[in-house]
Amino acid sequence: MSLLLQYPALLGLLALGGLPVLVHLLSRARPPAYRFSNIEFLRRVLHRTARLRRPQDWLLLALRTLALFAIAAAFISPFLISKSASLPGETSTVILLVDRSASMFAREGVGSRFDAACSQTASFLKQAKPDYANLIWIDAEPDAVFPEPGPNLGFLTDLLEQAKPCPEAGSLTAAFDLALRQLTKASGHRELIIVSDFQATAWREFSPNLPENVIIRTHNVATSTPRNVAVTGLIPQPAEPVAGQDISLLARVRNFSPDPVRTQITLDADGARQSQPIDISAWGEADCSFSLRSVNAGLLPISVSVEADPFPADDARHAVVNVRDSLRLALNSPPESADSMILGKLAAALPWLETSINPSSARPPDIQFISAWPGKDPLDLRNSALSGTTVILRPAPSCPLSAIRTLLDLPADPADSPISLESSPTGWTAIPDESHPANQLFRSGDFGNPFAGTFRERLRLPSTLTSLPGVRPIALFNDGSPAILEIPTRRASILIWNLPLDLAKTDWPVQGPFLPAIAEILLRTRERSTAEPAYSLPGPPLTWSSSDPAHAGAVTLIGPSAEPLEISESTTADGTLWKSKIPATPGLHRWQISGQSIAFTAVNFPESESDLRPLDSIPTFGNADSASNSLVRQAALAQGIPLWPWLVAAALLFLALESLIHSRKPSQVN
Amino acid sequence: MPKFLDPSDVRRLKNYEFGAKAMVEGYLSGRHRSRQRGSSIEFHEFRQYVPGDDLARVDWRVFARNDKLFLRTFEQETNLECHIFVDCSASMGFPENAARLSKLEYASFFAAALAWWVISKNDRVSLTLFDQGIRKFLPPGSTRKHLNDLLNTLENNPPGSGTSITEALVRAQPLLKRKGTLVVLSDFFEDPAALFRALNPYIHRGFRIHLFHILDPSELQLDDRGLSRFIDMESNEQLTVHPHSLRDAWNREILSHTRTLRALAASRHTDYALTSTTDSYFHLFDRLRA
Repeated sequence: MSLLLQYPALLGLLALGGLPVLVHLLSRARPPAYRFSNIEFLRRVLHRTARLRRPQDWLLLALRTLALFAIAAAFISPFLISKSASLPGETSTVILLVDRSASMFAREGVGSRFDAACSQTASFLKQAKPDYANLIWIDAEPDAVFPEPGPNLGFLTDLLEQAKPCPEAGSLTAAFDLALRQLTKASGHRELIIVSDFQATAWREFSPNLPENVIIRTHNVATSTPRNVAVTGLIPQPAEPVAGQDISLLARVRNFSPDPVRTQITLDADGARQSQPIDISAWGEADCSFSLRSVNAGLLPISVSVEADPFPADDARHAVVNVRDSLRLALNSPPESADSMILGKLAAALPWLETSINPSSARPPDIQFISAWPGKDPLDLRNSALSGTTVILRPAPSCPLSAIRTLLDLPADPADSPISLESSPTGWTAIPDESHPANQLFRSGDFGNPFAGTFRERLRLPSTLTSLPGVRPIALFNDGSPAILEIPTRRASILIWNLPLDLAKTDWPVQGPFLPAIAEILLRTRERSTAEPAYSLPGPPLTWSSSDPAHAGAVTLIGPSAEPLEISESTTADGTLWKSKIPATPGLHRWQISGQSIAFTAVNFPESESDLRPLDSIPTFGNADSASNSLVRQAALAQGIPLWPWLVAAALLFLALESLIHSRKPSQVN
Repeated sequence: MPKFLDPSDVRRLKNYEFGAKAMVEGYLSGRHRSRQRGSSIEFHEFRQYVPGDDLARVDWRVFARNDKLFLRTFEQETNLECHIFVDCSASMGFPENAARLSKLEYASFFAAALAWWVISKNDRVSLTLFDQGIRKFLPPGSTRKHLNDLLNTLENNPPGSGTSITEALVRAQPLLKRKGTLVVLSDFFEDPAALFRALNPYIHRGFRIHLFHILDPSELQLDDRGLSRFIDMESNEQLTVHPHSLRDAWNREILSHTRTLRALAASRHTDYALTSTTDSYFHLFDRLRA
C-alpha cells in the first residue's frame, strides 16, 4: 500500500501540528511575571497536585498536537492506495478465477465456502468496477463466462449470485491457462483474482508459470476444516463373479478430521442392505468387508454409505458389479485328447462354465487350459495372465524348466535339468495344501480328499519349484513333488498342472470330489481385482452407447434421486450414442428402456476433494502482498481510500478527549 | 487630613461602642467595670487575708473586733486598653499596582479607624508594626497627639520583608504591661499551630484577642491568568505554574487553612474573622462590639 496526497502543496500545513509544542515551549521560556503574596502555599498545592496534573499536562499537549496534526493532514487529503492499483486513465482488466470444485461445498458457519466466494467476488466487482472483467470457474472443465473480458459487470454479479458449486475436482492448470490466455490479449492494467479454499490436495503441487506484468491476488475463503468422513474405495472380489458365487466387497473409509470417529457403514446391493459400525482414527483409514451373493446374472448396482456429516457429498460410493452367467474356458488341446474330453464333460456338468476349443484371440477367455505345453511363448502366457485370463499349463515332457522360470519372471538356471515323464504302477497320491483358498471347501474333511485316487503318471518336476518365490502349491504328491502349482500375477494366476486327467493314468476323474475340486480351483484362482470397477467422475456428461437398433429412441436416463435426466441421442458408426445434457453428479445413474434398467453408470465423488484442509500458507505467486482476507478491502485500496474523514474524526476525538481531560478535576487533593 | 482616616468613617464610628463583653482590664469612667481587685473608691467586699497580700490593704478595725485579718476590696474602674498589631511584611503589600487596596492599606485603614474610635472613648491604644520582628511600637496612649503619632506611623509604613508573626508576638509580650484587647491584622501565611503557641501567653494573661485575617480576592480565588511566573513578594522565589490548573486545589488549601485557624481560635476562646480587602471593615467593628 502507498499513500497519495491530493494536495501535496499544502504539506507545510503539517507544521501546524508543532504549534502547541511551540506555544508550550515559548510560554515555558518567558511566561509573564506575577508578584504574589506567598508562593509557599502555591508550592504546597503544586506539590500535592503534580502527580495527577503533570501527566495530564503532557497528555493535553499530545492531544492538542495530534488534533492539529490531524486537521492539517485532512486538508492535504491523503489517499491510501494499493501499490498495484491502476494508474489514472489506464484501462483495467480483471479475470476472476473462482473455485467451484467439490470441496467448496464444505459448510463453514451459515454458508458454504462457495457462498462466501461468490458473495465476496460480487462485492469486489461492485467495489472495484474494473473496465473489463471475466469470470472463469475452476471446475473439471473450466470455461469463461465471456469469450473475452467484457464491460458487463452486472451480468457477472448476477451470475455469481445464482451459481452453485460442482461435485467435481477442479482443473487448475486448464483454468489458469484459460485465464492467462485472456489476460495476455488484454492491455493496460491486468489483474488475476483467485478465489478459492486452496485445498491442500489440489494446490500443493500446483506451480503455474505466470507472466510478471500481471497482478495476481489470492483470496482464501476456507476458515476452518469441517469434520468429514468419506467412502473412498469400493472393490468387489472377484471383479466379475458368476451367478451364485460369493462376492466379497471391500469398502475403504477415511476420516479427514483430527478426531477419531465412530460411524455406521451401510451397504445397499440392489435393495439388500447390510450395515456395521466402524471406528476410524484421526486422519486414519479403515477397511470394511461385506459378503453378499448374487443369485442372478446381470448388473448388480452397489452403494456404500456412511452417516451424514458436515460434508455429505462424499458420504456414499457406488459400483456396478457385472455378475456373469458363465465363465469361458478355452482348451488348447486336440479335441480327441483325454484332457479335452474330460474337461468338456466337466463344463457340461458345471452350468457356469462354457468351453471352446482353440478360441479366437479377439475375445480372450476367462480360463485357458493348454495341454502338453512345450514351453513356447512363456512371456505371452504371462501377459495373458496379467490381462486377466487364468492360464492353466500342463507341460509336455519336452518343456524346458527354464520356460517355467520365465513364467515366474526369473532368470534361467543352468543347473536346471529337463522335465521328463515318469510313471509308477502303484501310482502316487496327491495331497491338498490346506492353506490355499482352492482347498477351503475341503478343509473340514467332510468332503474327503479333493484329489482322491491315484496318479500313475506324472512329470518329473523338481520339488524346489515349490520354494521358488511367487509360487503357491495347491496340491503336492505324497513324495513332495509338485502336483498343482499356482503362480499368481497382478491379476490372474498361472497354474502348472501336473495331474493327468486320462483315465488310463488316473482314477481321479471318476472320484466324487473331482468335480467340486476342479470347480473350486477354477473359481478361486480367477482374476483378483485390485481396483474399483469402472466408474465416472462428476462433471463431464454421461454417455452410453448401444449397437442394438431397437434401443433407438427408447432409452431414458434416471438420476441418483430417481429423477429423469435430459439426454441427447446421436448415431455413430458403432450404433447409437446417448449423452446426458447436464454434468454428471455423484450417484448411480440408470439407463432404462420401458422402465427396465439395462445399464448403470456409477459416478463417484473424487477422493482428492474429500480432504478439506487448506494449504498452510496461501500461495502468493511472487506477489508478497497479494494474499488478503478481504477482497472488498483490496478493491477499495485499488480505488484509493480517502483518509480525510478519518482524520477529521480523529481530530474531533482528540479535541473531545482534550476537553474531557481538561475539565476533569484532580481528585486527590485534600 | 490623615491618609488612613476617612471623615465618613469617623462620622459612622461615632455611634459605635464596645459592648458588655468588653469587661476588660483598664477603665473608662462609668462604662467599663473590671473584676480585677484593686484600689478604688467603691467598696466591693471583704476577703480573708492570705500570705502575700499587701498588708496596707488589711482592715485593722475588723482585726480589732474579730482578731482575724480581712482585706477590704473595691470595684476598680479602669480604662480600656487596646493593642493593635499590624503585619507589615512584604506579602501585605499584595496586590501591587492594583486599583484596589493592598492588604496593608486595608489593615492601616482599619487600624486608624480603630485607634480613633478607642481614643474617642477616652481609652488607650497601642500600635505594633511587625514583619520579621517588631518594626515599630507605640505604647498605649489616649491623647490626640498619640492619635496623630499613630496615624503618621501608619502612613509612613511601607511593606517590609518576610513575616514572622510568632516572633513579633513573643517580643511584644513584655511591652504590653496591662492586659486588654489584642487586635492582630495579618494575612496569616503562617503555621496556625505556631501562631497559637505564640498567642498562648496572651491568652493566659487574660487578653481578649481578635485575629482579623485579611486576604485579597486574588488570594481567596486565584486569578484565571495564563501560564505565569509567580514571584514571592517576600523571598523573591519564583514558580512557573498555570493557575487555572491549580485553582481548585488552591481554593481547597485556603479553605483548609482558614478552617484550621478558625478551629484553633474557637478552642482558645479567641475571635477569628476572615475578610477580603474588597469588603468593608465595619463588620470587624461589629465583632469588637459583640
